[in-house]
Amino acid sequence: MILDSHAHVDVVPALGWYDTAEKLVQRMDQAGIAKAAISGYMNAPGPNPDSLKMIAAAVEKYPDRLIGYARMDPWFDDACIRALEDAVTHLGIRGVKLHPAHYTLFPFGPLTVKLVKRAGELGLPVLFHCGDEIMCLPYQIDRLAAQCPDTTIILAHIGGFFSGEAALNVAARRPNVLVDTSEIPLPDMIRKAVDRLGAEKVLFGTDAPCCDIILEIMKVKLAGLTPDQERLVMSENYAKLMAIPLEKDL
Amino acid sequence: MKIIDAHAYIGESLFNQPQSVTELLQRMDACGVDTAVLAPNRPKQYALWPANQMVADVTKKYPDRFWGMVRVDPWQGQDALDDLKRAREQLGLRILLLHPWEEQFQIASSNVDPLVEYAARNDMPVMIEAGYPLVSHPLDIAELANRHPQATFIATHGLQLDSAGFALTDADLTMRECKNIIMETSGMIAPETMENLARDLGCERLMFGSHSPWFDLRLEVERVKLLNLPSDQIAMVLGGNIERFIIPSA
Repeated sequence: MILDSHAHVDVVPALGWYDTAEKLVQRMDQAGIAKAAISGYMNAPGPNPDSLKMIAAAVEKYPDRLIGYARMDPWFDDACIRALEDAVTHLGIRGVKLHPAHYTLFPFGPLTVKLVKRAGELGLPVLFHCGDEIMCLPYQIDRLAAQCPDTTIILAHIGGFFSGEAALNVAARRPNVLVDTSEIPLPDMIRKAVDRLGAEKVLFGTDAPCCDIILEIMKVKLAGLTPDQERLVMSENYAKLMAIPLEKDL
Repeated sequence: MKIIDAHAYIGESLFNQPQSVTELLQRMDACGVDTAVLAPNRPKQYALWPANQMVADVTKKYPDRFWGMVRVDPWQGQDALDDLKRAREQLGLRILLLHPWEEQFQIASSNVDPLVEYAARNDMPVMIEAGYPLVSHPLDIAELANRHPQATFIATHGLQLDSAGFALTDADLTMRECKNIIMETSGMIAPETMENLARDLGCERLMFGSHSPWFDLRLEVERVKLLNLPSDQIAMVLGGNIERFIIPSA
């Protein structure tokens, strides 16, 4: 069983991105992915007032395959937090995605801290785009993580193309910070993450459907992990985080 | 089907990415790569000329397995131009490599012009290490390519290294604006972007390269094989497109 902690569903013509739930699930089927966490490409609140309903509709269509995350904009302060609470209560949202370069706000500032703390109180992990862009750098998110020790924070892409070592430094020093393997084409960095952090702090992710899921799986296979480490990364860690029963538990 | 890696580094490395001839040959044999175009690493002693000579020596020793690139530093001015001429005339190196990240120059800066003019006059394609922050963004490459319409450029990494995916739009725009740029595939995260370009602009605008040893050769070969393109087009991307530059002058 493979669980993908980082995928997307959204159609945004202005960005040229057309990633429907059908397209994602078809690719999950081809690659053998059991479940995937999805977020949109637009923030809520934001220009698409139905962005969270769109995620909920995708989950409703594929309830056994998709897990909904709310991609949010902390600039909206209390309105953002109310939207998140409403999405948890009425739309079945189970995580938060933040892309600070998309809304231009320092991760460690009070607006983001307030939102991330509330996410933790609601039992939601917060997945950050991490690396390659100012506002998304590991040491910036580190200052946030220190203020929100009760929220699980995931640094996507192990810090991107340029900040891998920084992402590992942050995840090593913060008990509440994990990394995901998505996108970055570096099996060796996955190996380093497992060696440095322990396999328990590394989540498999794909960033599909932009990225090829088969390559994303191959990348982990090439990292030279032990079978136990690989199982933790590919499924068990995320199953534990999200209380997803694994086949062996059923 | 002949597989030619257009982009593999060799030699000791100031930046801790060494690769010996033996290591590269083993990696090529393990995934069916027939030939590689060698790029000289920047040695610990900083000087590029000995690295160019080493590449030329290896290509002479293994003419069936390796071709070579010449690497120069535009900051060296006339000395760089002299080295480029020497490398072509005396060492037989027929592709110019520019590495704006490691040599610390902006790719569209004026000190690049004499090198590109020489390359264009002598039918040498120019490989650009693309996508590095502030020095080789896709539209910087477009600026250079538009200034030198008679030159042929091979831009690595799908022209971008941006895990957010925002630079994919600029990469796509650059490819459509500049008919004299070929997209090299190493580390390119978005298969759909490559497939659309092959369909719209022709598969001769795509070229397989690995950027080994930074990227994993096994993953990079698979990245191209998995593209949703006809098999004859895959063959062109994997080998035919670089071969047409090399064979006439070899």
